[in-house]
Amino acid sequence: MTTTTAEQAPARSPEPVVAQVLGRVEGVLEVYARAAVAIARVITVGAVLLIMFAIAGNVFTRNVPGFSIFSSEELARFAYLWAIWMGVSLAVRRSAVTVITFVSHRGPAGWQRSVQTFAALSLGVLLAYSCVRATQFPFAQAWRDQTAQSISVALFYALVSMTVGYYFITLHYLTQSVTALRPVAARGRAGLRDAAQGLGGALVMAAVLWAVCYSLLQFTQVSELIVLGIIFVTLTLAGMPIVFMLSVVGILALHPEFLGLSFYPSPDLIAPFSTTQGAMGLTGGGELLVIVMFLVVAEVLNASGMSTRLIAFAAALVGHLRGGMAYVCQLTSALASGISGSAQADAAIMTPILVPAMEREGYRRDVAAAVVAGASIKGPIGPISVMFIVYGAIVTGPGSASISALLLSGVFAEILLFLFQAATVYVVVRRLDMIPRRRFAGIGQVVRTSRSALPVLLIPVIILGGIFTGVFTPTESAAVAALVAIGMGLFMYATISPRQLPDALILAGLEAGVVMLLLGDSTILAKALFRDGFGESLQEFMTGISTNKYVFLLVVNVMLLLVGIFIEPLPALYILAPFLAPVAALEFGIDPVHFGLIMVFNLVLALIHPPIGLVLFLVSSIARVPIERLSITIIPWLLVSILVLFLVTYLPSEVVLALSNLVEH
Amino acid sequence: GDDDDEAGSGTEGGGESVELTLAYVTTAQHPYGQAIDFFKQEVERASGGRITINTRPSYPQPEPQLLADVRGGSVDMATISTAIWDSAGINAFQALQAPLLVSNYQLESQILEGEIGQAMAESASETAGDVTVLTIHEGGLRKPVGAKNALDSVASFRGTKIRAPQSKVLAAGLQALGAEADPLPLPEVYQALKNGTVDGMEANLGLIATNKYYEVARFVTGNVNLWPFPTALVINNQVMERLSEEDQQILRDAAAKVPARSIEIVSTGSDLPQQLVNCGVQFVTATPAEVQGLQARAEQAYTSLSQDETTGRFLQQIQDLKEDAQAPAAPPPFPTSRTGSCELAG
Ligand code: NA
Ligand code: NA
Repeated sequence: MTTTTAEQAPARSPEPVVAQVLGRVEGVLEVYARAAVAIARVITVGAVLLIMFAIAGNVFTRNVPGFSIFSSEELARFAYLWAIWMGVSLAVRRSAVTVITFVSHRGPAGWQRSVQTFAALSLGVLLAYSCVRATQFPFAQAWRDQTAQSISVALFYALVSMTVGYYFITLHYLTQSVTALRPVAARGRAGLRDAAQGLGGALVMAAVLWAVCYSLLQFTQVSELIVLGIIFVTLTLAGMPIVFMLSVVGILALHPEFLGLSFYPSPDLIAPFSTTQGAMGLTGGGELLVIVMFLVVAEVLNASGMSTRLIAFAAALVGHLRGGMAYVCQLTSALASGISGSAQADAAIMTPILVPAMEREGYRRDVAAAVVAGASIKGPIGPISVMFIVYGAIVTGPGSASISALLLSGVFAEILLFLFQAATVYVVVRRLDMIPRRRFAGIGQVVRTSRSALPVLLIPVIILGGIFTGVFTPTESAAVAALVAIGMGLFMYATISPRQLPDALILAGLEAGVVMLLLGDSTILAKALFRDGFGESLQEFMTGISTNKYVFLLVVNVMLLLVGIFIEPLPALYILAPFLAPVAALEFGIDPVHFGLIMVFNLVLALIHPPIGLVLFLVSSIARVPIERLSITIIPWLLVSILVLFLVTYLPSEVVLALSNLVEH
Repeated sequence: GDDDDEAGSGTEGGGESVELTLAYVTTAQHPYGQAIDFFKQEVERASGGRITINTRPSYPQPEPQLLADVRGGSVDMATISTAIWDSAGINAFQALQAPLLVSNYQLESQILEGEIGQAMAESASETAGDVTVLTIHEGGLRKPVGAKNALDSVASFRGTKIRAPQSKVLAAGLQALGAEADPLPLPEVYQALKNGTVDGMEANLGLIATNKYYEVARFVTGNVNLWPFPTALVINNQVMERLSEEDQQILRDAAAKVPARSIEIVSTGSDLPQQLVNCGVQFVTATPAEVQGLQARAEQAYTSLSQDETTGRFLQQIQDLKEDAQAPAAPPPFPTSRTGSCELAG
């Protein structure tokens, strides 16, 4: 039997041994990976539910005397850590982490192989390193004896979420790598040659990057921050997942010395990891819980078909205008911004429905995609906004601003943006001049669609009403809104079944994990800059340029647009706001609320700013429009948004903050 | 751990210039910041400008994180409220903040500048193992502040939720008084006082003024000092060991002068009480019977805190010192009526 097989083997040209081994390894890894997914799903759902009930329970207990859930905030923060890490691991498993491919998947095959290998190796080094340090972290001298504050457990149980998270993430990438390598190995010698070529190319790239950084640090006066920026941009373009980029930069920034490179060295090798974990909820940061709860609202309403109803209502109202679907898009984005705090969520909801609808009306698809991308930036601006809540929470001391005033200032900016974008639609439609007019759907249709769509606008009323009357904190209002959204989906509309609910919660946990990891990792760089006296340098730099506040604001506008090309708005805000806000308030006498609005609006534009705009990538992939085309058709919308930015920046504070001042005083 | 030897190995000789980074969470104007500025100047003067202390106020993360960071070495030096140390398993400072024990600055300066303070610093350094406590300085005695009702008696504390920084000793103290501690983050306290999430807080007058708590919490019990609010000035051990004997001594000598200066800063009379009254604060006075009632409850906390051997030893020493000391002269009464409009706002 054995002999026969051996004799027949050459004729069937069997899989090379390497491929066979990889196949077996893949099989084993896949078993573990599936177990990791199952565990992560259960933990994520449990943690998200726990967060909602713990926070919303606070509201209940406050109003029902004699009954108390002690320490709910700390419990929620620890649950959040688990939701974040399990969420990120699920995002990795589903390939739901953004990767820039326009460099790594273009050009000659050898180049592509090299770039992709370079990115994969860099990621491998990062994950291996992170697994080691995340394992040491809970046992480090400064952390091992820590106990939780109000719940009587060792801090260990919160710390270790990061350890498990890194193990799971690494497991998923390892499985994916083996899956990718197997077909290469199956090609035998040719495959081996390609792999060697990729590896060689990758090592050359790493050497070039190292040499550039080393020489800049050794032989020039270039700031360490610029060199870190070069590493950040290179690895991002090479196709390392964006979610890990701030981790790379942060770890390198604090590392004592890496291959002769040294930036803001610290002997504490655990510091980058404890800093991230701290910012994500270990030692505070409870206000960031709003992020996951806003995402629960958006995902639950989305799963229950609410977004489609909003679009139907907008279509009934303005769909008959010439070029109507573009107006529908404007109106929908304004309505949706009441239930979501993020542009990506809005773009993901609108693109699949509105881009085809606009195409049917005669718009070119790349133009239609740009309309949606441009409209979606209303999401993070008003009236519910993660950006403003985070700004209000992280800027303390001089330059601090109240969250409710910030949210209202955003409403003003959003109205301006809505008017200018609608005007742009009008101009574009006139120029295209080929779109037929349709009949008004009739009042009956408007009423019908509004009845089914408008109850959802109860959500922003709860959130904003709660915040403005002081009945809820922003975090609590978000938890109540999430529970109301779930109630609506389950009972009022009955469009989501209890079985579908976990998937919506997992999606929210997964998205929150990605956002929170970026935020947490951005704190490492922020801390390195803080230690280095970046605040004082920035103040000297700014006051050195001019003492005129309009010059300062122009510098800020341009600087934030540049920063936004590379870094996502929320992490950029997290790093820069604590440094810039005091300078604006103390040195230039700018109203803190007004400055908060300027920073948020300015950074949000980055989402539609080529070459790296996350909303552009998202819309481009959903609508199947090449990113190069979208980068051009977005330009009118970007320009109009920059125009609104300048209005928001240079109009007097009395005008911009009229709404905030009305309610606040 | 194993990674310690990867730390920078530049050994500074006696004549070399040294730069140290000293971080803390408050602003530079806070009593912590003022005392640290004094320390910085003392060090720079004594070393003839050879040692530079780069002070970094408004640390971007909370104090438990700062403590971990200085222990790990990502910051060289820090000053960190003694209240939060017990969460990290370091109980040496607990006795300082037992309820109604160290209730005046005279007693506190005797402790901080004397043997007890020295022993506490040594004990904390030994337990931590990775930092040296150079000294303890003061941030301002804390009083009960009530949002809707005055907190001036055992009855008024019963069943309330009081905001206090993350701290086991403060939580134990409030529990003994019949209240429950809520370690709400400071940025959320204003709103929480306003909407009733908490019934009050422990605060000093500076904190009430800076964060405009007078808008949402009117009642300050003037004649009850719950506990002091000290902070420990620390240096990472690896950083300390890299310094020359001479430089180490310069740091120790400068640090030794800080407690007295800090007490001076916080006890210097100001018109802050009057300004707070102008902004709506009402200073209430607990009757002697009410104070006695509170003290009786506080004794229960001493018993429970003494279960920890270190805390028990220091508690006993402080109680002995307090018994031997003369009661300090009564502080001037707090103002009761407005003299003008509120000037703290804006
Ligand atoms: Na929004
Ligand atoms: Na961008």
